[in-house]
Amino acid sequence: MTSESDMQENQSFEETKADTAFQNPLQEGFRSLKEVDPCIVVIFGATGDLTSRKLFPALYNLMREGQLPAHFACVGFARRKKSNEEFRQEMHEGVNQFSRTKPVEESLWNTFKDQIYYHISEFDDDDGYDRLRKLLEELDKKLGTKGNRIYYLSTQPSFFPSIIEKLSKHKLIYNKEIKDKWSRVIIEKPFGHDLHSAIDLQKFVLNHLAENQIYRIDHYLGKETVQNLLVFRFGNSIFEALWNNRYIDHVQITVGEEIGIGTRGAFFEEAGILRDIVQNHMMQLLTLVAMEPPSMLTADSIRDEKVKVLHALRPINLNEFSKYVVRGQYGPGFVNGEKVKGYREEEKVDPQSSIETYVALEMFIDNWRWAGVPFYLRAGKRLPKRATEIAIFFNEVPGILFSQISKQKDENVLVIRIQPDEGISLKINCKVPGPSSPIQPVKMDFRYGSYFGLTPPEAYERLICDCMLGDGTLFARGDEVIGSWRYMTPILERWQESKPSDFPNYASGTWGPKAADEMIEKSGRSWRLI
Amino acid sequence: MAVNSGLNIEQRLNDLWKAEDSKNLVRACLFNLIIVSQKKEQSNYFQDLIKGVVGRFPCRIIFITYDTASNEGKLDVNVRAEMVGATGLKIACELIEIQVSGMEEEKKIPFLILPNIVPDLPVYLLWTQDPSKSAELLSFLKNYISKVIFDAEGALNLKSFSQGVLDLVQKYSISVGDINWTALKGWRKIIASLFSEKECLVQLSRMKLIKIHYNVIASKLLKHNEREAIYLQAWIAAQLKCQFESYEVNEGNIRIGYQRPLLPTTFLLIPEENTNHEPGSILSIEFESAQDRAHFVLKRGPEKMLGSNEPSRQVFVHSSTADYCNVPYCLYLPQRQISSDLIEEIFLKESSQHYMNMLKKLSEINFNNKMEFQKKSNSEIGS
Repeated sequence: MTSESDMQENQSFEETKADTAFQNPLQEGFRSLKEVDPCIVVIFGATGDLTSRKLFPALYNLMREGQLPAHFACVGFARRKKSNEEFRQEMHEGVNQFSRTKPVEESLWNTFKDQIYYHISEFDDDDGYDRLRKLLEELDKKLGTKGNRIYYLSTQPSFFPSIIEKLSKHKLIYNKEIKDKWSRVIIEKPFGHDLHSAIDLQKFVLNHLAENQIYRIDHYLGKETVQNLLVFRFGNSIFEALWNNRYIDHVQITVGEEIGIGTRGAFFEEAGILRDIVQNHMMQLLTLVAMEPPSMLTADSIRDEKVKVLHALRPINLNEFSKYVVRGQYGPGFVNGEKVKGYREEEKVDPQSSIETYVALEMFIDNWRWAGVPFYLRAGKRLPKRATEIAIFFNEVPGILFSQISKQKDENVLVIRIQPDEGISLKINCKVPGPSSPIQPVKMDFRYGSYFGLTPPEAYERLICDCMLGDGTLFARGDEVIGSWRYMTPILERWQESKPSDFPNYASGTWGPKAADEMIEKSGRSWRLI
Repeated sequence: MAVNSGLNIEQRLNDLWKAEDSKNLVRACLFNLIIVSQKKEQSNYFQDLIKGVVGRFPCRIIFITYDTASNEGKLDVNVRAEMVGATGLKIACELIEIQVSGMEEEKKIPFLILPNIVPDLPVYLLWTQDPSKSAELLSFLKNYISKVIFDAEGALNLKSFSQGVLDLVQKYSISVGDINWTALKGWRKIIASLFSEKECLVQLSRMKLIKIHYNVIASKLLKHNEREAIYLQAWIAAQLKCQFESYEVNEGNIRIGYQRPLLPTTFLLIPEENTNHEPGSILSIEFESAQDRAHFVLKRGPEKMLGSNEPSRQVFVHSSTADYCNVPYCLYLPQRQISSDLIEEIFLKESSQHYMNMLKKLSEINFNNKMEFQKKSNSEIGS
């Protein structure tokens, strides 16, 4: 028999059910309080460096800051024989060594480690995927992870297709009819090695996954300073008004590294710097600098605008190829006062290698905003210093007022430093005190470190967290990747046809080959000395 | 490095930077932070707070202490640089300390503050008093302030405090924040995630009794150990649209009754002594429903963190109903530092709607000022 009180409670239950059908009244909309769904992250290639150096430190810091879901597990998937305990111990060491917060808080780790598992399998072994599915289902029951999955492909790119195919075959990837749980795949770069392979891979991947399930990671986009580009451009009224061909003379984007290729010889011989850095990181910087304001700050609005930039890129004129493209390879030289060997003397590098370690490009974006404004991109190994920056050179003032005082060309330059010494500086001209009134350029300098002295979250923390939240803003979309390869592939093909005769053509510790200087100097400009 | 003579603060700031020991320093300022305190005893607490804030974000701090115990007219201004960064590049920010007593001297305070605000940067006011009391300075600064951040610890009566803040918001359309509210962020997040699903929310709506255990261990700084527990219950009550019905203190426990359309809910705030956790912090929360015997328990790890003297940040979650019992699991509270709480409030530009809802709920409650269960040592410190 139902009591009056029970009836009242049932009535209350029904009322509340209706009231709370759509919103948790205890959830406030701040990002820091945003709810992350329970999930399991499966890392393929879990015994690789990336897992212990970047992925686990990122997961640990997310856990430490309360950003991991309560119901969470991480499964390392790899071929090497290892127990759960051994894997946990290795990850503990990795976190201890590479986490931005050290040492590991042992009481936190002791609870966290129980959520870490290791699964042994070949990447193409059906039985391994069957066992994986069973393990994940068990973990769902044990830890309440609700069937949600992130598969992180931290393997050689050649394994991507077979892993995705097996995941799909073993129903570890859910199709769009399944609404009560989700599956997402994070793919490390490179996504293809040229236009054709990228299109093939894209087609293949789309046979098994929807675009919104694919998270192509480019860790540059996880950097705070790169994210700040959008705020800088669209959160300040003064810059956007000048951000066009009426006021900007040209743009230089530089990614310089003083290190050589180290132990990555075998990889670099396959890739070269155009594939390794320019096609992905630098094109992301270019599109963020050149894009139109998005209508909303949503993943697709932003990525739509970036793709429009890629569509507006003027294809390289193959008849005047050397006017727009310069490649280089470092020879022996001195970096920081130390003698270093040339690329061809590096480990696992062909002594006759024609792989480029330096690229300089002159690019044009044929749209209303940027018509006639050259974008100069340069990336190199064994340059004098490590520096990633975007420099916006503004037009000179009409020379009628101060030309008698100063013949020196000192245009305003806005520099956005991505790394190191993150910040923004603006070069302006000032009068030197005294009767003769000479003009002297001065620099207004904002340094992130001076104002926000915190250790910022690692790029991987932000990106993994965004993937858990289903936010693809900071990941490259398929058409972005294809757009970028469409521009780069003719360059690769031309290089393939004509081997360089002058390699090595720059000494380690210099700013690249002479031809790169000549390329920019033909229009009366010069590379910025960083 | 400090300069301490005369009232021309600007001149003294210039002198500070001309001094030999200021060489190789970078002056930096992200915002102005005005701290208004009424008690000398809290000076150490605020010095720690200032160090914590400027250690992360350089700013200009104007720190005013009203000495209400003295009637003697006295105005003392000290200007110094607070240094950040142990090695390499040193960042310095300016700290203006003003100590004042006597009515005539107090009148000068707004005119000392105004010319010393760094222009073009936001101005945040940390107000440690009840906004309903002596709000002249608040009224004077209202046009210049980006946000007022309260420390409810300084409020004598939470009902009048809440009403005062609500009036302020209504009158001046000003953004407000609260350190004590931010300190509860971890718990709010955990509770929100615990009841994030429809069926759990339904269970929450059936809860008849919610017990909150809080730490009453004595503290030199804290005299209202129950504040966080009261905030937390008011937040839950406000978000679940409960109507206040009764408030009583019985043998140290605070019982607050709420009515919902058909179902009453009682919050029981229970003091406990725990030397491993911070004074005033929440130790555990229990949700009990009568109908299906649903029972949720959130309990902080009892021990200190391994290898450190910090309190455990782990919260163990046990949940069960008449039909099932879930495997216990663990969640984490963020690291707790009052300076981090203040910074978080500073960077949230708008007032939290949940905070406003909570204040409305608190303003309905007739609190008894004499909290008989307070430990003697605490009340002595606060008196």
